[in-house]
Amino acid sequence: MVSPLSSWQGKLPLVTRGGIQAGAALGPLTKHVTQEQVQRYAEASGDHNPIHLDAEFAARTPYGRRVAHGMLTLAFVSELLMQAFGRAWAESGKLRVRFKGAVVPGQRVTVSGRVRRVQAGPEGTTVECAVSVHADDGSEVLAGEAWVTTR
Amino acid sequence: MAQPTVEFDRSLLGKDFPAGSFTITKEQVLAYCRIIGETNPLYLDEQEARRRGHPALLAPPLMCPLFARDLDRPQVKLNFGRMRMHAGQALESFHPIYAGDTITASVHLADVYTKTGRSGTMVFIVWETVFVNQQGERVAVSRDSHMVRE
Repeated sequence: MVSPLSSWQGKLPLVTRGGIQAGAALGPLTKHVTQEQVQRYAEASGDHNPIHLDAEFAARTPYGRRVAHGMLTLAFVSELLMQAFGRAWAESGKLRVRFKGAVVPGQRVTVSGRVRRVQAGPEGTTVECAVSVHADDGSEVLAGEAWVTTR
Repeated sequence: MAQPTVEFDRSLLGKDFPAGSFTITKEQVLAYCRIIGETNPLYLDEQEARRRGHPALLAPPLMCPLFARDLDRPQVKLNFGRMRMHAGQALESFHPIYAGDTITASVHLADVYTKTGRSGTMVFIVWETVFVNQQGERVAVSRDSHMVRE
């Protein structure tokens, strides 16, 4: 297994590099979603909705097959924001997203963001970002906004 | 097309319910990060977290809404639909959450509304959960929206 620290090297948060500007790109981050991961996520979260786990049930839904938990896809967005903003994300982050489509296990997803606005205020500098996740067929499966305030 | 009558327990709207509490252990933080593939050392390496001024491992912010699933929520008693999907999620963090924190949650039904589109009628149920740590600090507020359809 690759040590978490070795894979981290070189990815300094945007905030420590200074000079965050509107238009700056976050990521992209590529993640491979597997049914085994969905299974383990269901166990950890207690979310045993059959649409994630039961192939027969899922076949009768509009998706036609098992899909990943929205919160699992959203966890990748949080990972991207933690990479970009470090502790400020965990301490003061806000996000608002819509789950627009299904992530089918076996797919690779691309998680990305873009700084929309940087605004100085009494509590620090607030960075507003657009965030999105695309499935490997190009469809957008998650879209939303995130805000991080850095001192 | 006529909107179907959607019935639910309206007395729940806006009323706060204690939803219980949970402790986020270091093992749970590590397990969660392993499952989602999160590699940030502030979540995984206690020494590194302490070196950077944290009292313990940071917990990923989304662990609160994740754990809130197992808490007690009142029944909406919706007379509609069979399939339920997570439609949207918002989260605001106000204070870091550390491994070892005990979080107490309260929940209220924020909204229930209906939308009819080409694929039929959908009902959206929006819950808001407030998370407070063992020091009485409000650490996060989560708003999750679930879509129910036939």
